[in-house]
Amino acid sequence: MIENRLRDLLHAAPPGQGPALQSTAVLSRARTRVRRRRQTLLVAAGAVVVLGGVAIAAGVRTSPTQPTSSSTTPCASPFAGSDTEQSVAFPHDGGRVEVTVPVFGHVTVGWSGCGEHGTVTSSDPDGSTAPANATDVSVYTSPRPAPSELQHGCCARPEADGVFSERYTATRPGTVTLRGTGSQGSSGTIVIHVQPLDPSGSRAVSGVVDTSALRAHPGAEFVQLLEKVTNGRVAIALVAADGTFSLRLPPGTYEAEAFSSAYNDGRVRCAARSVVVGDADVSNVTIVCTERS
Amino acid sequence: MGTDDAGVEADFCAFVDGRQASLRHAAWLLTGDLALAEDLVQVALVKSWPHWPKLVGSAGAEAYVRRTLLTTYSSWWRRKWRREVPGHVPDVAGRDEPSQLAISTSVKSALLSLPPRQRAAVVLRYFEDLTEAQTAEALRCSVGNVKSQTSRALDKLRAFPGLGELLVEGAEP
Repeated sequence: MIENRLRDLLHAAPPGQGPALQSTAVLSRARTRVRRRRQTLLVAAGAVVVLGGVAIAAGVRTSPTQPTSSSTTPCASPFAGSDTEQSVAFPHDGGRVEVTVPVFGHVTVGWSGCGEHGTVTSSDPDGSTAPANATDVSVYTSPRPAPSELQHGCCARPEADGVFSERYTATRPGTVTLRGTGSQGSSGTIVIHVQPLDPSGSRAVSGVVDTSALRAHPGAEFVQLLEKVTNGRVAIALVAADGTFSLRLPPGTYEAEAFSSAYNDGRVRCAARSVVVGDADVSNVTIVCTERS
Repeated sequence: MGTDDAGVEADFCAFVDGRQASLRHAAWLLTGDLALAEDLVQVALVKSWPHWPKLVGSAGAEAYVRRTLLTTYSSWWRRKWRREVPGHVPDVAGRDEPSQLAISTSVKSALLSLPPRQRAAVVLRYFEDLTEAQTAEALRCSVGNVKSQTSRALDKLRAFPGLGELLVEGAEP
């Protein structure tokens, strides 16, 4: 029976080895989450809560920003180690830093103070809130408040206890502004300039998203091309109103998919055959959208 | 902290220590990425903690955490368009034998080729060994829907290059 073979394979497939979760760290984080939810409820009710000498009223911390070490930088993510990954700390007191990264590069952002964490939001420079415009870099909006520890001059990620920094994948040329609000009340901005690929090492790829088979759904908002061999390099291009798209990719074989926030019900899937980028430009990619009845 | 609180905490920590490997395996099958799997497991555990006083010592604790893991995964893939894509560095293979790594890669690639709901159905039915009714409850859909999702998924897996051969009866795992 194929079911039995599949059962065996699923159990035989090792997920790889990572550091074990520290139960005490998970418990600490769980307590923090509970405490924050209580604080949020109290603040939402217009209450003024005094906790540990920090006054919170209407969602605004009135205590002065806690001084933090500015000599440390966030450790790179576990994926760091290549020239295309940079680590940047959010400045305090409303400051702003700028960083440039190529498409397929990564930026890890975080806070410089050990034990400091926070939330990150992104905004498109033109003020648009369209979902596709938020995909230049991938965004976690939920805080991952794992305490960090000072190790070798940087704040290290505790073993498998989340990260105090966040990793962003540069997928489309352009500029994205990340605003970080730290746990100690500070805020700052990181501007990421995503540079296009070098024309000498990439090819122009263009095509169309065919949504003619869909009933009520609107057109796709963006296409994503995932490099198959590494299963990680990803590029994104916005889809024009007429369904066309174009971008530059280095030679390789890619999986092409199209997405829209309107497709999140899982009923629509837009995919294409493998896109092979060789020595010449590719202009005939067709991504067909189908809808389950 | 009272004795009861200490007991609840000890039970929670024991659960985390004892069950995280299995939870991470399931999360990895769902996400195809070890780092995301770690995050998914941790988020599920953190979300489950407030309910632990009612779950302590009961057989339902694991079912509750797994349900939370699944609902968290569902909320993640529904927001797929704004989430991070797994990095280009492959998962650490550690001491895996080459054959295990090959299986791991094939299974991961094949599962990732499935739509999230079909993937969840496969993991619940054939990794978690849930019945069709239990899977339907976990996915909040009908048993018929589970059957159709599973059937479609099996068709795709059977045809997936590299995995189809492994699914042939008698092949070495």
